Amino acid sequence: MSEARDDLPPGMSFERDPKVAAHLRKFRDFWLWFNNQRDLKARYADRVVVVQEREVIGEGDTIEEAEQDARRRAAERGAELPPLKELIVYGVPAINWLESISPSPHVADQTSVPAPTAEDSK
Amino acid sequence: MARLARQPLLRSLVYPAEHAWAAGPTLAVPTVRFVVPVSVGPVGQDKALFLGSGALLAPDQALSVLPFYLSSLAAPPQLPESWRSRPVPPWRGVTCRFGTVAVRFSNEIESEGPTTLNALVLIPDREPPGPRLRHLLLGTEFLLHYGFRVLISFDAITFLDDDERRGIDASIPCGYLEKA
Repeated sequence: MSEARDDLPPGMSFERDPKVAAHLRKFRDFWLWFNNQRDLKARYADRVVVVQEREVIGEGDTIEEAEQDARRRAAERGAELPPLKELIVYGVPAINWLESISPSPHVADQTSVPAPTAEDSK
Repeated sequence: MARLARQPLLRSLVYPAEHAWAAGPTLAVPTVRFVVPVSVGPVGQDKALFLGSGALLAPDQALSVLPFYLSSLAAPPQLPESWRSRPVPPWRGVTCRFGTVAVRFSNEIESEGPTTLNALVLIPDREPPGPRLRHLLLGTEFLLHYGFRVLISFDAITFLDDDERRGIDASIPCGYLEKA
């Protein structure tokens, strides 16, 4: 249920379907939580994951592989995989943080460094 | 729905993401990039599957780039005549084609709902060498086309400060993306 309006630029529309807003909210809540889970980010780095209630229920290199894995695991539990639209499918970025950081080259109090004067250039 | 004068159409929160920058074994410092949580799906298909993704603000890129794993969501775009005979620029050494996808943004403006924007993207023909792209890259063409205002406050970037977790707290917004 998209709404394009005269005051919007071409290609832009508002979504009036509450399910769309709910899905976006659900993804954002997951994403904000997941971003601070370093162990999970490291474990699933560079993978596509299928997530249900903050639990990874399938993984693979592609959406199809992740979905198949989730379907297989669900079958092993004797359960049925809910439609992907009701789950979260997310491509986890590669590890891109540092465990050991060099100290900042910035002097704590720069004001203690006197500005160059005309005398200095002579 | 009528909107108040000066009220923007769309405002989405921007979050910091830590990216490593290493100039050698003795010099490694974190840099910060800026990400908006979005969902991505096919253009003009409201009921289709939309997948959650981080959209990285990438004004250093001329064109937006769709991660290879999302390429099945894209449709061929309508390009202006002058672009039809031009070669499509490669990305990270990988040949690409053009496509369009619908990108849905959460909207902090209460009177409006989530907002969908069609994006022209480069679609790599395969995964690039090195780390795979998992974020949608929103390049200058996209940001200019919709005339976004981007506000980033480095003062709002919060660092985790405990033994278990270090680095940037990626759950605290540090700015917003706004369409007036």
